[in-house]
Amino acid sequence: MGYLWSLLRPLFMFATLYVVFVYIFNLNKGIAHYPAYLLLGIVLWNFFTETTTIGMSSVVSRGDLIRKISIPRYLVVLSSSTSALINLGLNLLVVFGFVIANGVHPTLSWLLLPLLLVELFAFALAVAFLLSALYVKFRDISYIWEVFIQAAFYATPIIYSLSLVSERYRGWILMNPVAQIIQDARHAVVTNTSITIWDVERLGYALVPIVLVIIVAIFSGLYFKKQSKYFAENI
Amino acid sequence: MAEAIVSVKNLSKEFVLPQHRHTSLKQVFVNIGRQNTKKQQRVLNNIDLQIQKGEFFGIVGRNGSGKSTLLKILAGVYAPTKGEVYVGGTLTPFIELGVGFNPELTGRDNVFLNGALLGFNRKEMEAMYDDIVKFAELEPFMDQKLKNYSSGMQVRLAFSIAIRAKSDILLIDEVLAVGDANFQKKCMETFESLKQEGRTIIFITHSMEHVRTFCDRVAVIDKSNLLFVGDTEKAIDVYNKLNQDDEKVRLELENQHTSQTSERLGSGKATIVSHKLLNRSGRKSVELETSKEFEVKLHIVANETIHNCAVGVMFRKDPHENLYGINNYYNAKPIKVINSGQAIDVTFADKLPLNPGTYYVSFAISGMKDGDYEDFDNLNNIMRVNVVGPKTSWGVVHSSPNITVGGIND
Repeated sequence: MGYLWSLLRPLFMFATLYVVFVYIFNLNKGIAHYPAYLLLGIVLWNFFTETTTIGMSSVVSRGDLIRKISIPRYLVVLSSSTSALINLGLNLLVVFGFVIANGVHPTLSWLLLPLLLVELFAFALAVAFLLSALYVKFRDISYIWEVFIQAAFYATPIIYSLSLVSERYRGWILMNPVAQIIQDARHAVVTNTSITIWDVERLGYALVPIVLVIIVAIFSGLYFKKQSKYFAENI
Repeated sequence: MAEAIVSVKNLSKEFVLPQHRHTSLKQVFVNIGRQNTKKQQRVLNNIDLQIQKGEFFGIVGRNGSGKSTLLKILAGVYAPTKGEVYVGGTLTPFIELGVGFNPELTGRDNVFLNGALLGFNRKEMEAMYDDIVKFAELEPFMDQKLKNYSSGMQVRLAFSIAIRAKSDILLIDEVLAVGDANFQKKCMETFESLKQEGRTIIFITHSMEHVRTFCDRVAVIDKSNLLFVGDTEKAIDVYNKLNQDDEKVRLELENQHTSQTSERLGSGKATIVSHKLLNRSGRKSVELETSKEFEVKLHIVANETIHNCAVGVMFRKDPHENLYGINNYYNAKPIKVINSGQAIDVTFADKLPLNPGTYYVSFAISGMKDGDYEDFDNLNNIMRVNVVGPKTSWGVVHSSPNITVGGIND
């Protein structure tokens, strides 16, 4: 039953957005296979929000365990991401159903998707580690993150195409690792008209999102390690 | 000399008091630039401990003394503020039994879940499952959800799993508080056999009986400091002394207010103006010693002329049952007459024939007439005293008999 809902949730969201943006705003112009394109973006974005939000509260919600036994603290955050991972797997099956139904032919570039998923998972986990440690000390982080995620949803090209954005800003938008990953994934799986960071920036700048992921991961890891010693007394 | 398996050097632990901690970013921003008024509370102060391999080591102390914090630091739950902790072996903490129990799962599932937390895989758990259930005496209940278990049943189940842990060091914190007499006996037997196996056990308890039965060495912690480490009997003495001091402070506080059980009765023909209870060294005290000398001094003023007066002191355990009373009338030291306005001083000196415990004390003056009496002033159960000392007899009456036993070959 739980898995059914985890499939239905992105599908409902997809249906709503599809109706609104295709029939009301006509945003699908110039994008091939828009349904598959839109759904892939939503699925990847949902994975990111789910991992970070559940990860954020994972340490605090397992406070009973943490206050009493010395299990490695990182396991708590890591295990909280498993349900998001399962959801992602199921959702991707649906995405591929749409992709094939839209008449996209499988190509070798599909093999890039796992790499992009690894990057997305690493970034989401890194953010989750940082948030979970912060949440122990500052309980209002959850509200701040909720607002931030909502803003970020519109700052990321999920429902609209980057081609609608002025060329000056495309590079900036794609500095966001999640935006870079979504656009790359679309490029690899759905349509090569998806504008990626490789199209708009020179190589040096194009690596910025990946470097960002690494920096965030290192910083989060160190911060989590330092704070985790005091989780038991601060929760 | 065996090697130290747990060693603690110069250990200190401080907590930031919760009311001085910022718990939201908002507070942090609002308080930017303000003086940092964080208050630290020191819960452990320079603790040094060496626990040898195979030792059954007790830690005792009153509530809030820091012993559970020490255990949590040993278990790696808290990080020390200062000092070093060395643990030379695998360690299983039973800080609280049933950690990770899920009330929505059945007893059976919880056994496996808890086993996983202790580091057992499914196969190992299956092998010992029957033993666990049998030990816990919960065979008929294993397919019920845990939320339908009584707290005693939960603890029994948790304990039965926990004792399977194959670790070198076991940390046990007051787990025996629950469970009926029969189960407690079983726990004791388990401890015996663990001790026999040569495992190192660190045991926190308030029960001196358990300490005496099991512990090789004991540490006494009080007010964040290590008061004593070593011989079990000596440690028990130190601990009992602490509790007596505590009881004394409590009674002194209580005696400042009139307690619920106390009342002032009598016709008012005389008034007990002051009453003093003196201990063996002649000091005013609410603590007296079994079988040792004590004194009571009363200062009484007559409000009208009274005859055939009896002045007395009564000790009671229950507010209504006389245990031990002394009285000038029974000792044929009658006070024939006190004139109106006249003041008298009465002093009683005796050896206290009561066993350790707390007692109510009453003071009274009354007049005897034809075998009947009239209370002039009666301070009924006006104070409580704590009697301390060795207990050499049963019940409340102190006695130190000579006992000889014949017919035993030894």
